[in-house]
Amino acid sequence: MIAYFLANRAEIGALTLQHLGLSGAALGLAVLAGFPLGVLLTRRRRLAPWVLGGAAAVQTIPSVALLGLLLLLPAVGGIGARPAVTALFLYSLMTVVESVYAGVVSVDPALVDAGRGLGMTERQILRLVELPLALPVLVSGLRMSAVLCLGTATAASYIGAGGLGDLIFRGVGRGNPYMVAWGALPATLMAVGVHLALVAWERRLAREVR
Amino acid sequence: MIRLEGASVEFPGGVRALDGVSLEFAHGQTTCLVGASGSGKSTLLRLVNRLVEPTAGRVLLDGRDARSLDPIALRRGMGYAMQRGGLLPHLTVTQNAELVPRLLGWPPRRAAEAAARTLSLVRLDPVRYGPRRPGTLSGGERERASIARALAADPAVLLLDEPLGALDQHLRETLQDELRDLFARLGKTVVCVTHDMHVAVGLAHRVAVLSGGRLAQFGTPRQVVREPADERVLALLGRRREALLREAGEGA
Repeated sequence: MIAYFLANRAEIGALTLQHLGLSGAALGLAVLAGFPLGVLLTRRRRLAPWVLGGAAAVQTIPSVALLGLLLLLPAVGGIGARPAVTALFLYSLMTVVESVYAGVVSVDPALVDAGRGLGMTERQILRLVELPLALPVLVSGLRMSAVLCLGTATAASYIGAGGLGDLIFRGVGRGNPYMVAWGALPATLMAVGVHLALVAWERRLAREVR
Repeated sequence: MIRLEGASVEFPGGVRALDGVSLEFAHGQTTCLVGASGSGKSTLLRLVNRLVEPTAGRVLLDGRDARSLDPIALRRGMGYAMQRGGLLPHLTVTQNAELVPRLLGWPPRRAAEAAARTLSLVRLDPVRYGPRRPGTLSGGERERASIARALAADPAVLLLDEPLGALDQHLRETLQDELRDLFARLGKTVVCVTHDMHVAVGLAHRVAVLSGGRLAQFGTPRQVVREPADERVLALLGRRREALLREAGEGA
């Protein structure tokens, strides 16, 4: 086990970084697109069930099937890192949008009313009241998206996007358990690490807004 | 001067919260709006700063129809302390008190000075209480902080919704006396919603009694207690009328 790591540490390190890069890029794009979309839904609440329902439907597509479907698409599809990021983006987008929406909607209407009564504009109510109070829920959504991305990114190896999935699938093919383990272990550790860090942040935020 | 002319409010679904109310809140005086829950008193208060719009009649502020004024500027120019305080839990007491001055674009130092000054006015030591979050305050301290926030930008008009609602009797009486002195000293026009006739008698120059969205009686506390206009007002005075008569006799 150790011997395998020492002999292949350069490759394991590179694939770990690639794995992080795929997940990070997808998550970053999901936040960039999902945050404004979530805020928009809170202003047009009648649209929410439709958009959230549609996004949920995307998430029920099995990851391998989604990657397969993306093979056929131009621009965002094909093989390599681009369709992989697209797939991970689609998966985490839903979680981001839903957490922004749920977080803002859960804010005590009395506090929104207080902000309005003090003379805040709608934009100021969003910035000074709703988003700060929704932050624990937002971070919780970010955490779920991040863990989902890190986990699903292993499947991206199927379409030649690289990442730690390479070691896992190659290891399975060659019957090399050490190779599988050194693919799975860093992916798991990253997911657990991100999870714990964001849970800690969430707890601190929740204490602050109580 | 704030004046309502035949103001009615009908909420979607046909619920009539206010029905043709006409009255005037005199400059520099404290008026209490008294009534049971659902009588329309909070709705009336919210008409003044345009959180609710009249579906009939109008609200005049210094002779101008409130609907012709910018609601944002209007609200920033009036202090508003809502039920249960409405303090933002993620901000400190000082940051809450600084909100309206900051919205008005005051420089940070001036906003901080205003916050410290009004916190002292309601007897919350700015050094001791300023850095704390609302969640760590007692009910009475929260009511004080909320009133300090409403006063921070030195508005001419102060709107209070059940400012003493969450307090036990002893605390209520102490804060009530303090507030009466404070409002008299500052010369504010105060409109205060309360379900408790004792608060109205202890605080107000004028009492408006509301019942089922209509104005049942409008007069001095003494008038309302001595000569209730009808049985609805009498019912609101309830069994405590004797005590109220004594209180009103001393005050007015």
